[in-house]
Amino acid sequence: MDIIKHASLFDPVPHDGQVAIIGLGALGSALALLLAKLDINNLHLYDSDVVEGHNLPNQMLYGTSDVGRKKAYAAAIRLENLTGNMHSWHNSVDLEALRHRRDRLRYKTVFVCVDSMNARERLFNGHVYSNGVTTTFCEGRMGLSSGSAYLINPCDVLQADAYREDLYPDNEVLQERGVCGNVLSIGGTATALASCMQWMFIDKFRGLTSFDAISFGTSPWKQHAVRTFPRSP
Amino acid sequence: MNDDTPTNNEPVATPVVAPVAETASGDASVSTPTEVVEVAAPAVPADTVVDTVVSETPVVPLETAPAPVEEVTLTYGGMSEGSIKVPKGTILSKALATALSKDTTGLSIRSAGRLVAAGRVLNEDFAVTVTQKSSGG
Repeated sequence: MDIIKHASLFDPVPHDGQVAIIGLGALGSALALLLAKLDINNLHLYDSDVVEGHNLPNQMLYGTSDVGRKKAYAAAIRLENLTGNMHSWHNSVDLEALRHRRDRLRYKTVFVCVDSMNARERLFNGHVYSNGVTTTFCEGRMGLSSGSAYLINPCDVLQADAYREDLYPDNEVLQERGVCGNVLSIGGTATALASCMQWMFIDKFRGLTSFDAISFGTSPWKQHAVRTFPRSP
Repeated sequence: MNDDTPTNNEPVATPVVAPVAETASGDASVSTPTEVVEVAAPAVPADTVVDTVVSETPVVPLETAPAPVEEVTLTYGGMSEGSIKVPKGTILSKALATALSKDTTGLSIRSAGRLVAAGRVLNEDFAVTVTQKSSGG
């Protein structure tokens, strides 16, 4: 790809093979597309789920031909077709197995886009916090029309503590549900939140921030964006 | 019959006064009666003329004006913006629920970048940021 449109903002080369995305649903797949479009080579893509028909409306990276494929594999193939770069797929995210093989998540940058607070807590405390390698941890949480994104350095105790304050239990989460009890989701919210996370990542390597958290609403009747962490702890 | 002696037909109202308070020195001192209660008069035949006995003990009027309610201002932003005045001592989550017209379950409440307990009592003006607790990925 010719990256003249963003080359002066972001240099992808130092990040080749150093970026992992855990969870490739609505948010993770949108983020994978945005990071691949920055021309980062060899993204490490983690998800154990299979693409299903009901994923297509809000998971923008997948198409009808991906139904039945593992999401990590389908994403890697799609991104290769779109950017020409090769990416690594990991079809199993067994956190307990990974605990015994901590090297598996030893990436300089880890993006977390999983769908439960329990998984976030286990990933952060069990795998990323003070693993000696990860210096950029970026995590997103999506509601129907709102989202939150965090960027911290997990080697910094103060930043880690501030992040942990926001690891609320799953039973405190507000989920908008449809008539069948399914969790409602719109692709536009995922794309907006992925855009925030892409900018947090770019801004960190532009030296503008190393610690940030924002929360926003996207629907026209309750648009808002607030910074929920101070810029510097 | 002596005129000063009450007859059986003349009911006597007995004022009930507040209990006698004891001073710190142990001397009994009589406090000012604050209320007079008339004891029910015994039944009298209908054709008997009864003199009304009026107590001369002064009645202290009750205070009718309520004490002023002190208010604090809760300013909120994030999911919705505005401010609301609530009585001092109001629980933060109840004030927010009034302001946002919704249950505060599932909302994250921050002040100056730090999480705030929803059960906090408001005793001074307070500003919070309200966001939704979500977990989708």
